[in-house]
Amino acid sequence: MKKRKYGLMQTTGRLLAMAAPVKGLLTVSTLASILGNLGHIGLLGFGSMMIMRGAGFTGSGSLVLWGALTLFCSVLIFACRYIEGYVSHAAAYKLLSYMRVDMFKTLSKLAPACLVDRHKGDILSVAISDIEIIEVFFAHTIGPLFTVILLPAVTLCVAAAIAPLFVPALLPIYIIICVLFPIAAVRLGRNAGMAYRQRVGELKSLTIESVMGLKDIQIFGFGQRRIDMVQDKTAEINKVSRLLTMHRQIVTSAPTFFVYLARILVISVAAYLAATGDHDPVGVIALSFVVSASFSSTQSLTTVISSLLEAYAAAERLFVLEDMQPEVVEAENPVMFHKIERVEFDNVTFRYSTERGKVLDGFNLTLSAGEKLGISGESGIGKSTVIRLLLRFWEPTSGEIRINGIPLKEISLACLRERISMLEQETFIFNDTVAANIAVGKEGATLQEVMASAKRAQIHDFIMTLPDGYATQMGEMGGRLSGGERQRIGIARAMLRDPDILIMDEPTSNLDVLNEKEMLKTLEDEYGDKTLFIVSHRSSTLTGCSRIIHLG
Amino acid sequence: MLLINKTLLKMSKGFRGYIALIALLKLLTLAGIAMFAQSISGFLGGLFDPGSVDFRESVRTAFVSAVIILISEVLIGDVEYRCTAKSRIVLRERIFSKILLLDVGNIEKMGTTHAVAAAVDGIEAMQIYYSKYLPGLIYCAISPFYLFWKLKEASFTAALFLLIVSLILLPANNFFRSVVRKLKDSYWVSFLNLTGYYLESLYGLTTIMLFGRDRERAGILETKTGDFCRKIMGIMRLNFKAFLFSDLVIYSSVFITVLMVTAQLSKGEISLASALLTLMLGYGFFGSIRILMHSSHQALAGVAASQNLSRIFDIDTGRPSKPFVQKEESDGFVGIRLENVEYSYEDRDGVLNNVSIDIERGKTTALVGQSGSGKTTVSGILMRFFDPQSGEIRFEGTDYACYEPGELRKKIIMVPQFVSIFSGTIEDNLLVAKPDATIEEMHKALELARLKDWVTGLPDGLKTDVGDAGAKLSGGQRQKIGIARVLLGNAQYIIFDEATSSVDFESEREIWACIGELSRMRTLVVISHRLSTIRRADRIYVLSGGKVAERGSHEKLMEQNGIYTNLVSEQAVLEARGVNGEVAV
Ligand SMILES: Nc1ncnc2c1ncn2[C@@H]1O[C@H](COP(=O)(O)OP(=O)(O)OP(=O)(O)O)[C@@H](O)[C@H]1O
Ligand SMILES: Nc1ncnc2c1ncn2[C@@H]1O[C@H](COP(=O)(O)OP(=O)(O)OP(=O)(O)O)[C@@H](O)[C@H]1O
Ligand SMILES: [Mg+2]
Ligand SMILES: [Mg+2]
Repeated sequence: MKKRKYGLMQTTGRLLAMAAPVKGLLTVSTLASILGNLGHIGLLGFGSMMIMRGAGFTGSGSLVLWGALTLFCSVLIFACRYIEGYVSHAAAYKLLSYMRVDMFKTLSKLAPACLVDRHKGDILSVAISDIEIIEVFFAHTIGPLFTVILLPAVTLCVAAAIAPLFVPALLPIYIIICVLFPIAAVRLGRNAGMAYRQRVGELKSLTIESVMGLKDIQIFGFGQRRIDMVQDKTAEINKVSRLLTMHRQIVTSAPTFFVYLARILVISVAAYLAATGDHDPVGVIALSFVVSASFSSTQSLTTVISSLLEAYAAAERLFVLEDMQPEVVEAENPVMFHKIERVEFDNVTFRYSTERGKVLDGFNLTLSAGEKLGISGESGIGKSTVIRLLLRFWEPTSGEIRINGIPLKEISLACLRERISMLEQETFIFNDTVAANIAVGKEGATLQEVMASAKRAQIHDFIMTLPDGYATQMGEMGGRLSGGERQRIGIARAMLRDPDILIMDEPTSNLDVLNEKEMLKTLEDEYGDKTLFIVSHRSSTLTGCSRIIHLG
Repeated sequence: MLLINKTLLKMSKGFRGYIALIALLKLLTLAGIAMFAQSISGFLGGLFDPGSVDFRESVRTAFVSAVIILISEVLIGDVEYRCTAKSRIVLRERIFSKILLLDVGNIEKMGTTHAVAAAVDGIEAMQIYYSKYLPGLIYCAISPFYLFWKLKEASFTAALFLLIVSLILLPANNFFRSVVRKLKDSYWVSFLNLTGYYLESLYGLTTIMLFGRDRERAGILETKTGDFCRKIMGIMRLNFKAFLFSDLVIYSSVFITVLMVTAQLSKGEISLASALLTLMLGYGFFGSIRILMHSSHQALAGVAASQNLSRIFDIDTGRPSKPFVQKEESDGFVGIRLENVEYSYEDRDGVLNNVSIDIERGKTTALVGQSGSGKTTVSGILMRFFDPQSGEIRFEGTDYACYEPGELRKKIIMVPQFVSIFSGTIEDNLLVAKPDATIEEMHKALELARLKDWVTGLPDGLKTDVGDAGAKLSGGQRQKIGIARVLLGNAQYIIFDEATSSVDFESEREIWACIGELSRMRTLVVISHRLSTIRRADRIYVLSGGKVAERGSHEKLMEQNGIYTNLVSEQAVLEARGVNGEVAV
């Protein structure tokens, strides 16, 4: 078996630690679970006593006493079942919602550098369905984990009182099905659980890319091949699901088999006792029922083991993300500044990964306030990379970037990104209104500000033609806009702030001549005293720049 | 809760046999359990009367029945696997075919979130319903009769009582039906909402971080996860209510049975063995219902998912279609002809009003116009991503409606304004266009797109991983791959929609020079804001206000002194300030 990064005990411990916020609820549900299971033992034990007392096989106790005890146990069972079920689920689902939010916070520390290799569909799968399956651990495992030890102990005590010979007969069975079997089952099935969760994540990526890339798929008649890819993935899911189903069936039925064996053992011992003449049939009958009841709790553990495999795999997938080392870590006491006066790239060398070559090699650049810098250069030369480094989404491999002479590493990230406004090479449109999409640029922007910015970006007139104006919904991923409209929304977003530096990465790639002209005019009129940093391969776009650097 | 869902039953075509088989195997298990109970109770009853029961016989029967139970449980597992395997294949095939049928024009009706929720989570959730709940339901309907038959000898009254209660119990659960309906819809809505928001947060994460909006986003996410949690707890509450109700009935019935049996026993009407048997199997009467209850909240998720799936299956994908008739244009024109085409997107006023465009075979046609004037929309109509509301389009004389969209796309391909890169390697992305392309062909295409040097310079060459949806490529590299893809295919008509908008100046010039070569053999449609790119086109259409405002060659249009002339001169002014010159086809 492959060695796992997260051991069984370690994962369990970490999950339990995560449950800290709902400790109280989980304690209540565990207690309820124990009481309920004791009630179950009592129900069958007392019930059988009642029958035998009623039938006159025994004189101990009274019919009313046994009846009352039986009834009491029944009431205990419902009350506890309900409380256990409700409380444990309430606790579990509350935890899951915390976990989802925490995961987003983790992801936002990792993005974008650490996520380029992770498929979004797969991450989504961790956030939604993997976390959902961890419910099995919180709601269905913690309780049984206690009862599985406690109940056999109680049963053994009862057995010891009735006929000590039962103890050595039952003990090995309990050890097998309460301890050895569950642990072995989880260990053996972990790979299958992991494979299943992974395949489901991959299928999600495949699905998302199929829908988002539908245009390119249709252009090239790639659809049928795409379906084949999906079905191949489904076949892989089916293969592991076979393992999981068989695992579940065996894990649930094998202990049942042992339970039956245990009951056969009980009667064998009883037969032996009967043969030696030293027996109390009433006790044996009651014990037989008690034994079978004690197993019902162990079975509540074995029925979740297979789901637990998935839960452990899910937890592991979550931990992998959580334990990822972010590319960028903020300094302990980050330095704040008021205004960016000077930006320096000092002998910066950068590579995205060791497999790929250097993108920047000994890059030097000084930018002072008010300067208008244009950058051009071959596709893939590293223009966008320079910007990413400046915004500290990635860390230089060597060399240093300084702002106002302070190394970037020591500067507060929030402060840095607050003072810089940027138009990305591709504008992302959120599934919200136009106004909200522009307002992304500045927290708490008013509609007036949004409109003013839209006018600057030459997109106001278009927005006014929309059915609901600024309140028009943009739909998923900006599919309802033309390329130029999307880009102008991005420009409006970037122009909503009042930054020290305005960075624009290919601002005119999808603009028409008139838009471009107006945009250049806006830059000239309204950004005269700001620092500009414009990347473009169109010479016309860079005409307003005081300095143009050609990378290459 | 009782969940019998028509939609789910309808969708189970193709694997219903497995469902029945699972139920049957469950009955076999029950037979094993009954046999076991009989031998044990017989033995226990005989303890008071040593010698009356053969101990060895009891143990043997008990052991045999335990083995029967074990085997049938394992068999159930196998059939469950077959059932789920088949249903996954069948349903995923349907949903992905639907995605293709919806096509680019209508895919928004499904949307990424719905697609991923339905095709992955939804179908997985439905498995519980098919492999556990439904067989369980069938089993629950039959098993009481079997147990009655087993018990009637032991204690007829008790057996009859148990039978009646268990037959009433299941339908009585129907009582919760209206709540179930309400819950399942709101559950799924909340699930989609959360999934969609999370997905978007992932895709927009860089933007979110860039503008420092992550805290706000986390806050909204918190309300959404909270809402989802409440919806689930709503289901759980119902589930436990149903549980409590059934348990109440079950335990009271068992209790009453015990009393009945005790009374009969004390009167000497039945033997102790029969009494014990009744007690053991009495619980078994309801065991199946309790198991059913256990899987019912998961089954409910499956029911909710199936509703969504069926809504997706019901989306109309009908498109105009005519029987194929080969025709020719009356005026001898060869090419694609748009005649009085009108098109508007949902909720938007006419984007194209009465547009007529001729794309002559072997020539280069250009579309220009301001941003938002409908150029990309025309290309979508040419590719038949959607069909115009009125007007006619003919491909070399034959109505577009006579062709399957896929058929047309063998003749017309395009570089879209935004190229989608698929996760995988560079090679995977090229093979999209031509699955059997050779390495040489790929290198040739990359060479034409000015990407070959970069690719061959990479340690893994064509096998280089491009990251999630091309995250490791630069903007221009993505576009170049889009161009290389198109050049790999050998369609007669090629549309370039702003194909080089993010490509560097040098490459752009070289790429257009190559494409210029190409234009001798192929028909090109070029959409570009860079007017110099299309200067040499045979015919230029200027779109404005949803109409074709001007048409003609560059020279002719310049004479007209209209929109085109204005655009060209504005660009000249801008460019005059620039350093580089411009390029042309
Ligand atoms: N996350 C990444 N991992 C690995 N390599 C990357 C990553 N992002 C970009 N690259 C590579 O780094 C190089 C520089 O990319 P960058 O995006 O900075 O180019 P660019 O100059 O902006 O080009 P364009 O004009 O095409 O946008 C490219 O060769 C690209 O393939
Ligand atoms: N899916 C859609 N739903 C609603 N409206 C749309 C949709 N797609 C495009 N539009 C609108 O239709 C108009 C024409 O869009 P189109 O993409 O054809 O413009 P374009 O000429 O290609 O512009 P650009 O040069 O900016 O790419 C735009 O105003 C756009 O907002
Ligand atoms: Mg770039
Ligand atoms: Mg367009």
